[in-house]
Amino acid sequence: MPPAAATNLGYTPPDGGWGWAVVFGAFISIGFSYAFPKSLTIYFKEIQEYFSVSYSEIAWVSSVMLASMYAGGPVSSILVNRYGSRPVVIVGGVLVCTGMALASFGTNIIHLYLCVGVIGGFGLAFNLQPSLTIIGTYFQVKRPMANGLAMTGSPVILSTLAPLNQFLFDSFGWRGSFLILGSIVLNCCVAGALMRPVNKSIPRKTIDESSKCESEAQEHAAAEDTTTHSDNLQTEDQSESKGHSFVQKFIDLSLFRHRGFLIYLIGNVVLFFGFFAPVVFMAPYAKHQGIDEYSAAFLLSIFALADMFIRPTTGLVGNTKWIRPRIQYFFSFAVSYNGVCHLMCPLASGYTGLVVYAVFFGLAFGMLSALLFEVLMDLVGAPRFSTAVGLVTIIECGPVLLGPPMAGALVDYFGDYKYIYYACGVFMLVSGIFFFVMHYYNYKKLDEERGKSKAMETRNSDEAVQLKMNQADRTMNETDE
Amino acid sequence: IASLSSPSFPSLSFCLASGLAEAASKPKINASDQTILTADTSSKQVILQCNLTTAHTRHKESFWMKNGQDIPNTRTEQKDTIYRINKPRADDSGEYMCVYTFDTAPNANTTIEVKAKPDITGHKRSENKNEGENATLYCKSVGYPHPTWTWRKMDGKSPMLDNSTGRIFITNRDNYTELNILNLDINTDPGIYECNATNAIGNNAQTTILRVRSHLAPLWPFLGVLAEIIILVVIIVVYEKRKRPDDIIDGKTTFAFLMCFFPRKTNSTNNHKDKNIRQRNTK
Repeated sequence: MPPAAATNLGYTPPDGGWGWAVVFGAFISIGFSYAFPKSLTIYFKEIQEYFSVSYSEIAWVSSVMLASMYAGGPVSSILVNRYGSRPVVIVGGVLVCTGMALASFGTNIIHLYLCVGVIGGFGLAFNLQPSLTIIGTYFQVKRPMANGLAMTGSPVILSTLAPLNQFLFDSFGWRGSFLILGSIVLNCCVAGALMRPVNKSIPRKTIDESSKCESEAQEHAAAEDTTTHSDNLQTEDQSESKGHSFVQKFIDLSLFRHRGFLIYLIGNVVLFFGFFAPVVFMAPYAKHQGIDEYSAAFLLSIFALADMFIRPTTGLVGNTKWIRPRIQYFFSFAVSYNGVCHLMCPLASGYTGLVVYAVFFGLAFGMLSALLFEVLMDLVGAPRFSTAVGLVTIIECGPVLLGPPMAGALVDYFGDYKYIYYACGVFMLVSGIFFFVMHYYNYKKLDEERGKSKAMETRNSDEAVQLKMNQADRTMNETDE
Repeated sequence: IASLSSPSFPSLSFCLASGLAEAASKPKINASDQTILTADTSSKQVILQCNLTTAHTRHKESFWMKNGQDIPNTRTEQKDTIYRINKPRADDSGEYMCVYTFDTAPNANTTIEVKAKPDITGHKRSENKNEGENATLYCKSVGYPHPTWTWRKMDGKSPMLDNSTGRIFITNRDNYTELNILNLDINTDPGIYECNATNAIGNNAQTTILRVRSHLAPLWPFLGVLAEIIILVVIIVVYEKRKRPDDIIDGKTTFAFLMCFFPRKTNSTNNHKDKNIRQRNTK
């Protein structure tokens, strides 16, 4: 069973129905958020020649876009808390479209930084956060599955965008391609249109479907408590924000006192130093070993394919009754597996070795990505997830941006790629072990707390049932008289 | 041109210096005649030979040079020196020189020309540019003697292109030519362009396709995708507006209690019906 804190949503999520359409919308949104910056690199060579700038200046476009995407996290959290997911995603899609369309008329590189980098990055931020948030509102029991499916969007859309971008580039040049990409990215608005706010006015039964009616008197009383609670707050979409709406208008800093959130944050900061660098350096490492360009590119395709298949599988596995209660351990395992994979990479020799590495790394990367936000939802619960993810992304901004250049500096200093893999492996292994230890401690604490709160709940519900029966008796006596 | 195809010794012209007693006579070198590489000779070996005659002082060493640059590993102290070219290709052609060095006299050399038809090694198969931009088509060749370049547009009518129109500029260097078209015009400029390299032995040509993209070309896909998106959004919104009224249910608290009779999510209309029946039964 998931920890007690997470279920206190005030309603029972549908766990299906329209939720799957929302997952599809999130799939598209998340896919574009992650894949779009990576796929733009195809145009860089031509733009570099067109504007006569150096390679590092053109690479800044990607970095600015990524930085804006992560920095826009808190802004997008605030907007989601206020307005719900749907308007924010639609605005995000329109922003990226505008940014790309303006960039297609660009006359210098600064223009590109602003349009593609800043405006585009913010638009993508407005896509990422709300998509993740809305999954938490629609799913509870099947949430790992939903998350896994939604995160599959990233490799799928990257595999679609990469050849599409090449085709557009050949047919239309970079300006025409930017314009057309702007229109393609408007599909995020379609995804946003699918993200109907969940209907919280239907108080459904709690998760147990098989229990009898008589034994459920207590549960009904408890459910009634929560439903009356939600009734009072039912006028707005985000009912829980009513209670502390002023604080949540800005950043909910009380999260920094949340034990699980802190564990996640610290572990993630270490993790992200070594997360993206191996992907970035896979092709150069292969070429360094003497492998030709096409085979090196094929390695990335193998990686993406492995990634694509493992994400829903991880969601499925995470949903099983053995893993779900202790999903944090699954996440720690995924992180450590990543670390081990990188540490073993320098042992891979020749092309076959690298193919094997690409497969294992794809599996590791996908597993981690599928669980990345699921565990955060599991820790802080759906109501505070939006703020949490905003805070996490802005703090992760640093490691994500610093990781690949630091790895590049390592390569330049040592002249050998294997040190990157050792470094990244160490980072991930350390954070994996940190997660294992801290989550063991956290689970123990949560079990204790749940034991205490359950005792209090049964006491309260007994009293409530007693109270209601007294009231019913009184009214019956009154009507009789 | 006498086509003296090698391998064996061609007729060496002997040129004896008159007056052997002249102390200051220059050393004479007998060398093979010029060679022309053709498609037939491409599998046979080409042998260049130099023979030093009538040298007064002992020569120090001899070596070969091609096109003004030393060929490595050709230094020898022999009087007769031979340079072999196996499987000669067009880039083996050039000016070959055998050089004899002396301690007390200046170097003596003789030039042997190896000529071939030019071979075009570098060109772009196609070039895509937007209208109004500048296009650069180029061709690189190997072969000696250096060819003269001409450009043609293969549309049947206009023969040679030159610098007269003011929009088209051709720059030729020894083995490289460049055709620059400024301010591309979408009506007249697209087509197949041919660069032709001609020298005394023969000629060779390669073609490049130039495509000019219109400014408005990306607009149609853009509008098309935009239309598709608007249609999808409208469909989704309309579907939602039609579903919405059924989903809203009132009477929440009693409904919660009644949910024990409906363990699964049911259709809203059924709930309305059953609620009334159940209320009567339970109270």
